[in-house]
Order: sequence, then structure tokens, then C-alpha cells
Amino acid sequence: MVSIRVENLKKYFRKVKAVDDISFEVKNGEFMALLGPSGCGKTTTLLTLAGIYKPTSGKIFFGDYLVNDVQPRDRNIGMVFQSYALYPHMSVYDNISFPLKAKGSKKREFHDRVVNIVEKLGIGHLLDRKPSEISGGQQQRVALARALIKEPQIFLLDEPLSNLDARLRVMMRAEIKKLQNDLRITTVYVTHDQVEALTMADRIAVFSNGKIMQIGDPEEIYNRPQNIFVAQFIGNPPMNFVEAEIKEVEGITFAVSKNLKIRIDDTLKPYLKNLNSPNVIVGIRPEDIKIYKNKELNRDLTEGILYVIEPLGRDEIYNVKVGESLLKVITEEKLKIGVGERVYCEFDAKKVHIFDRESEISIRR
Amino acid sequence: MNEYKLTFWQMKKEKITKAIIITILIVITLPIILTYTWLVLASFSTDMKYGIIPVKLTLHNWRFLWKSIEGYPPIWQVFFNTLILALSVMGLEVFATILGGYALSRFKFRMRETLLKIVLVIHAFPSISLLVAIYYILKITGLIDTLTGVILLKASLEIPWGIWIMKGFYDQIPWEVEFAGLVDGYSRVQVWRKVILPLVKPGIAVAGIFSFLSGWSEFVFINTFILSQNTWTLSTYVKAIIGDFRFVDYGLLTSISLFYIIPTIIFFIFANKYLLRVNITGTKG
Ligand SMILES: Nc1ncnc2c1ncn2[C@@H]1O[C@H](COP(=O)(O)OP(=O)(O)OP(=O)(O)O)[C@@H](O)[C@H]1O
Ligand SMILES: [Mg+2]
Repeated sequence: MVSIRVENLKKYFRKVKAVDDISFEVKNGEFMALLGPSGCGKTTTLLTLAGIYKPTSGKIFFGDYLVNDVQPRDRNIGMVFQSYALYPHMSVYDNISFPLKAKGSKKREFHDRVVNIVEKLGIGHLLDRKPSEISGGQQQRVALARALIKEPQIFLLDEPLSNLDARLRVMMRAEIKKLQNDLRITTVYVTHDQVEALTMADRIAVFSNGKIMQIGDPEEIYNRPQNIFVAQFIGNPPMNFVEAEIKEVEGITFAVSKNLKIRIDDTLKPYLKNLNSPNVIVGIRPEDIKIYKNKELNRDLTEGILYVIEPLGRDEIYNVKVGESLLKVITEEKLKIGVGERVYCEFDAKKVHIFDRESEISIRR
Repeated sequence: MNEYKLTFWQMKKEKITKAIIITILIVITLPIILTYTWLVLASFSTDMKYGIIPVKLTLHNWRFLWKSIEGYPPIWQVFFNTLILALSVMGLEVFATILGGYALSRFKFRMRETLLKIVLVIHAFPSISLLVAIYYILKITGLIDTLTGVILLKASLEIPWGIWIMKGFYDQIPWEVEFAGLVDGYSRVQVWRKVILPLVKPGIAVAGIFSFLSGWSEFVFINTFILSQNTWTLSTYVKAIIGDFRFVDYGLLTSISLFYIIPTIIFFIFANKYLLRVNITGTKG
């Protein structure tokens, strides 16, 4: 087991800046997720960690060792590829034992180990089949087994669940997390699925266009997004954003736009000095808005029209039109309101996120 | 009812189409089959009545197998020359194309595109137009009138095309499979040998078969650059018999022609399995 440290890593493909000056650290035994939309450089980062791509510049350390010039085969990593990349001409057994044969082990030496790991992953009955003769979920387990068999010190996973159906994905999510927890292998897990990252990782690095937008644990990423990109990328349904202006009215600070007025909580006020201008973007998560049928007294309510309702089984998403903008509100309560009726929204002042409109950076930086 | 009719007519249509296709195939292949049947019959008979009906069974036409025909080199020597030529061309081509195809498929180097185009253009030239130039080259290198010369010549003309074919097969193998091998503890060369090569087997088969056959049937270069009888190959042998100034022994000609194509047929029977799984750009599935 070993820690990973990446310093000012850049990887360019001619003019394409696939990875553009990123730095991060993965602690010994930690589960780190690299999260970001398609084409943001996650795979490139992973392949550079694996030693398959040479960095354009920057340094990669495993523990205290600079590994920039170490060949992939000497890095002692296990990797699962997005497409699994099983060897089509080899049986499942040969696929899994292929990494062990590299070290010159003989079958009688590693046979028990193979049996052990396939039992653990529930693929013991498939050993004689070819990869094309097993299902996607089974292929994925074979890929996991192949990556784990040599007991690597670092585990790299590139969207291992993206080819599975929804049900299997949820199941494998827990299984991989359990596996990592048991083995405590330093793990870097690439995904574009925020739910995967939030549920599995100890820490998350959010990528955009080859840059890291924020690193933090899931709680931090979710509750204290550092910029608009992270705020809108994390959370489902996504955060609501409204352009507003900071104003003081009778000693109380508000974020004011044409159609709504949001009170700024005292806990946020000290951060307002980070703003260069009063022009801000206010972000509020759908679950941090309460919705009322009637105008209640003594509350800061914003009036809107119910636009559409999306039932989710347990929860419901109410889409409320406030002026030009559409707010999404999610709640467990089932309100008896029809589409087109008037509703009243209340924003949880403590949960409001404020971003500089120019730089798109949170005031709580 | 209506629906039933529809499917009924569709099935009928399908059957008719099938029948038409089969008829066309038969019509096309019939002359070939008839020709070969005639060849076989003629080679085992003393004479053909009206040119088509075999008269009397004989092995006389096949006598060249156990005693040499006067004025010609022994058939087995000629046979082995041909075999050496075909196998050498095949060996050289397979060796060069599995390496060259990989390089052109996987390595990004300057002039790669240009090289690919040049390779195609070179292949488009009819090799007969090169005869004079080649003659001088062989003369200077001292390879004139040697089998080695023809082997090198034939291989070098076949290799560009083979590299293109092999490149197509390599192109179909995802990078990730190669990456996986590197991560699993192998060097790039080892990955190529243990993972990539087994996956392009059909390509190797195609390149091998076609180069063998082109070596086996080579005529122009042999006829032009080989003079002495002990380096003759079967194609020159057949040609010599046809072009003999004495009278032409048709019986002998038929049996030798058959003898000449037997290895080709055997080769195709073995290679069939691979050829059917292949389209020109690579393996299916
Ligand atoms: N080998 C390559 N040559 C040229 N450009 C590349 C290469 N690999 C990646 N890129 C480019 O670099 C950028 C980042 O690619 P990368 O594969 O790392 O994205 P990703 O975050 O893994 O995306 P996805 O979620 O779609 O897998 C993309 O714009 C891509 O087109
Ligand atoms: Mg990717």
C-alpha cells in the first residue's frame, strides 16, 4: 500500500490540453474518485498514473518515489478499463492468471490464489469460458479479479460500472466499496456519475476541461461547492441558480433579483467581503426550498406558479416558475396543488450558496 | 387472413430469390467445374472420343512422376524449387507484415500517412513494367538466374500489400487491450507476442495464404530471370511443355497441370476456415 502524489501534472496531445496542470494527493489506503463530464481528462489522468502515457510535464510520486520514468509493468498497479479490455483469445482462468504468469509463476503456485479470488467474486463457474461467452457484469468481475490477483499496491478503475444496467450498477457499487474497504488498497476511481462518486469515495476530485475544480470529501463537495461548475455538476436534480444583486434593506442583507428576494443568513455575511461587486449568482438546492400552498405570515415567501410535477415515488419534484426562471423543488410532502396554481417558496437561508458572477467562485472559498 | 397471405408471399419471394441466386452460382461455376472434370478424366485416359468421352484408363500421362521426361529436369526437383519459392515468399512476407503492419497501425511517426499512400501506389504498378530495372539490379547483385533473387523480388513486391492487410487487422484491436497487458506486467514486445499476435491470427493466415499462392504461381519473373533448368519451377515447366517445338503431348500437359494445382487446392481446404471468417479489413465479431 502506498500513497500517490501528483504535482502540476500536464498532458497535452499536440494542442489538446487533456490534463492541464493538476495536483492532488491520494493517501495510503484512500478511495479517491475523479469525477467530471465526458472528455474532461479523467482517463488521461489515470493512464498517466498507470505509466502508459508520459506526462508532458509534472511529477508523479508513489510514496516517496518519483515514478515518472517507471514502466507500467514495474508500478505494481491493478487496473480495470472502461471496456474491461479482457483478452478475447484467453479463457477467464487465463485472463485472471495472466498477470501472475508475467512474474514467471507456475500454475501449481498460483492456482489456489485464482480459485480464492474467483470464489470471492462469484465467477468460479466461468473459468473455462471465453470473455465473449459471459455477460457484461461477469466480464466486469473478471476484470476486477485480473486487477486484484497480483495484490497491487494501487488500484485504478476507469468507469468500471458504466457498461452495466442500473440494477447491477447499484449492486456492484456496494461490492467494490466493500472490496476496497477490506483490502485497503489505495484506489483511484474514475467516473462521470456523481452518485457513484458521492456514495463510494473517501474524497472526490471534480474535473472540468483538464483542470481540477475542487477536491474534498463528499460532504464538502456537496455542501460547500467552491464554484458554479461543482455546484451544478453535483446533486440531482441540479441546484437552482438565480442572478441577483446584494443589497441592504433596513439593516438586513438580501440577494435581490427582479422576482425574488433571498435573505442572507448571518453566517454568510462575513464572506460577502470576498465579492468584487454586488453582482452574484445565488444557488439553492431543490431540497433546501420549502413549498407552501398558502401565503403564511411572518415568512419570507416568494410567489410562483406551479409549472409541472415530476413524481419520483418517494419524493416529488415541483417545478415552479418564478418570473422568467424555473425553480426545482424536491420534497417528500405530497402537496395537493394543481399545475398552473399559485404557490409560495421559502428558501433555507443557511443553505444558500453565493457565487461571484464574474469569476463564478463561491464567496466561501 | 391478409397477414397470412403477406407472409406467404414473402416466403415465396425469398424462396424464389434463393433459387435464382443458386442458379446463377451454378451457371457461373459450371464451366470451371466442367473444365476440371475434363482435365481429370483426360489425364487418366489414353484418348478422348469426340474430345469429351474417355476411352481407356491409363497412368501413362502421369509417368513424369516416376521418370523424367526426356529433355526436361526431374519433376520432383522442379516441385521442390516451386515449394521453396512459395514457402520463402510466404515466410518473408509474414515476417515483414506482422512487424510492419503493427508499426503502421500503432506508431505515430512523421510521414506515416505519406508512407501508407506510397505503399498503395507502389502496389498499383504492374510489376512487368519493372522488368528492365529489376534485371539490372539482379545483375549487379549477382542474383540473376538464382531462386533467391526471384524470392526476394517476389516478396518485396508482395509485402506492401500484405502490410496494408495486416494494418487493418491490428487497427481492430483496441488500445485498451494492449494497455491491459502493459499494466499486467509485460513489456511492449511481450504484449505484442502474447496478446496482440494471437488476435491477428486470421490476418497472418490471409497474408500467408495469398503470398504462398502468389509464390506458387509465379511465372513472369521465373521465366525472365531464370535460365538454367535446375532452377525451374512448375510454371516454367508447364510453359515449356506447352511451348515445345516438338509436338505437344496433351495427355502429359493435363496431368502436369493437375499436379500443379493440387497443392493450391490442399492449401485452400486448410485455409478455408480462416478465409471465411475474414473480410478485407479484418476479422468479424
Ligand atoms: N490519445 C489521444 N490523442 C489525442 N487526444 C486525446 C487522446 N486521448 C484523449 N484525448 C483528448 O483529451 C481529452 C480528454 O480525454 P479523456 O479520455 O481523458 O476524457 P475522459 O474524461 O476520460 O472522458 P470520458 O468520460 O468520455 O471517458 C479529450 O478532449 C480527448 O479528445
Ligand atoms: Mg474516459
